[in-house]
Amino acid sequence: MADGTLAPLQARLRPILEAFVPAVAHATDAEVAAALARTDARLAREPAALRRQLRVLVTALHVLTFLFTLRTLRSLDIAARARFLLRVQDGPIGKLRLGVWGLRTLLFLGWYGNPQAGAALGWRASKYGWDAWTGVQPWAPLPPFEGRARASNGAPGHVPEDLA
Amino acid sequence: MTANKVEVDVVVIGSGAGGGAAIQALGPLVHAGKKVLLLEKGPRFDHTQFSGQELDMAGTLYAAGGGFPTADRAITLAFAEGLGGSTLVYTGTSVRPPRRVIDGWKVPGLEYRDLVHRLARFERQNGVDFVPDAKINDNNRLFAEGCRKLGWTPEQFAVNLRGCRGSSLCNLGCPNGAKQGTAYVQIPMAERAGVEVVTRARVLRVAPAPAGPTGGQGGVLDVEVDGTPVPMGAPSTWAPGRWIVQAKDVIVACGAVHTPALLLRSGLGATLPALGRWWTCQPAHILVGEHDRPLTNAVGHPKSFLWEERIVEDRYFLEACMYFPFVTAKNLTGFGPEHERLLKAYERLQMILVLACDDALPDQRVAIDAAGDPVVHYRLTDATVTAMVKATRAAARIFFAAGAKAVHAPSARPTLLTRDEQDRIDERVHERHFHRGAVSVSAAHLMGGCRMGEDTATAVTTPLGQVHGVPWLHVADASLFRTALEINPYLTVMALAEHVADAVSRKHGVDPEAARA
Repeated sequence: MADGTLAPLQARLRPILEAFVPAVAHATDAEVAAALARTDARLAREPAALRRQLRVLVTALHVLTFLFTLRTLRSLDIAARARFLLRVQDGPIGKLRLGVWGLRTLLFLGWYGNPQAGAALGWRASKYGWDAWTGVQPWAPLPPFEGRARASNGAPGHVPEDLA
Repeated sequence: MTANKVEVDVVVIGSGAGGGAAIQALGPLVHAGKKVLLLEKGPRFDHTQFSGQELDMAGTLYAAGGGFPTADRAITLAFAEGLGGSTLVYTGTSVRPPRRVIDGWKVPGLEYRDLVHRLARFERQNGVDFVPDAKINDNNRLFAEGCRKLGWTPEQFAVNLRGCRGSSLCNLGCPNGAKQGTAYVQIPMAERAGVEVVTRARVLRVAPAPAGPTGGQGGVLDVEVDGTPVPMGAPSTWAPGRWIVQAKDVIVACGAVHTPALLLRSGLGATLPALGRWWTCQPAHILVGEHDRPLTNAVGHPKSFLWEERIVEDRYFLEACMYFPFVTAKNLTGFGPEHERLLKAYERLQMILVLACDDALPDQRVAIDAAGDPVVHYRLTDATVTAMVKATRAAARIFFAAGAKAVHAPSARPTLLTRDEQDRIDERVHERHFHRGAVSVSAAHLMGGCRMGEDTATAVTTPLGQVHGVPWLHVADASLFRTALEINPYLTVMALAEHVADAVSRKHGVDPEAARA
């Protein structure tokens, strides 16, 4: 069995992760495992009680789905799963609301924290900045330099006359 | 096991904007034969190792990977750990504080005129200037353009850059070493003056020095030097293990979370009722506007413009910003197909950061848990939520005026506003849709907890930063602030820290103004 907080729950987590990030439906088990490992690495710093609560939450989301829809979470299509989980997140129970928000944030960390996933979204930052930029060039016109207001230190390094 | 012992005249704990400015100001003490030491909990980094990868760098540079949670886990706080502190990860925006805020603090002896002289000197030292027009990206241009079309006046941030290549990676540590943070300017200056800098040294507590033959003098620090290997950063120059540092004066500059925590751990809460309290953080969240065409957004300096015309009346301000894939995903409310669709439009996204000026309240506070680690008890008040909602409405108007076809607003249901809804922004964006705990709120402008002032019921330090009733203990960071600063704080932190360090220099017989001249 895999180590970590969420990795051992991969089978139960996958339908939730797919609802959060629909692209995961096309991911291999290894890719999902890698994402959960990234999340678990982050979770390792958290208190044991919080990690326990997360595992309970995953089970609770499956149970709630069945209670409210009479369907298993896995049997719902991705859009329906997302709609149901959004209802929980926007629902009246503060702990569940925060729990779903926390779980989606942690799973986003695992998935979008992968540099390849970021690149797939179109994030192309490089340490070489403008020299390496292959995308579009700046396009919106800027006003004349003199006309632009500047934050409080309009002339950095200088002391205004009234304060000299 | 016997602890190593060191005796110095002055020790500074922490190396961010406050600690860095303080240690530079204390450099001349070395020429006067004094021993001065800087202790930093994090490692010393080599910026050429900064990878620009979001999780790696956030995990390396930030406390709790950038997601230090408040006690109710509804807000995450961002602050760095490493030589340079949070100046490693800021965008270098260098703004002077509003005069109304400093005057409003009513701290005797703290004069705006004096601060401005200090600020101007730091601006010169840090190479503060404006990003040239040709290097301003679309994300910032659209912010300015949107403001102007609405008849509003955007302002350009001055920034402290030398040799910026426009990596846009400021918040993950500049891989080109262009940002002129304390690790690049003030700390090297102090080291050249003979100050000793020790990294990976965590101060567990401070206590009065035991009375000796000549009586007790100064303080004693219980320090733990961490020798655990880390993937990035240099090892400490001190051997791993326990160290005892005795100093005639101790300056604490660990930031607005760890400074109050250290003083609380040291048992000072019993005599200082204000310790940890009146804590503020200028809560923020990201808004996203979707355009029809790709933009230059993940290139160029990310933060060149702000708009603050409603700051006094409505308690908010807006800044252009650009964040990384995970932070962006986290900040878009919800999940599922629409969330993913918007993220996949990353190249066409414009971003604005909305920041609320929260009130300093006694119940918003830093406490410590059983292990002595900080716990931040902070809740979004109704007034702060209202400010964030008003800010969201203003940002939505800027997006649409700049040509966005849709705007993602966490305090709207549904969260996506389309162009044909421009006339219904006030109705669509509303406090009733702002669900605490379901909106990603974060904060990086952490302030208060050791307020300066004369009244010990509401202040922790004197106007010169000396902890009330403890003549050898001083504070020199953003925890001194009496209220939210209403703007990015690092430059003010530096000026205030120097103000505190100068008082310590005088105590040791050195005239700081003469030394600087």
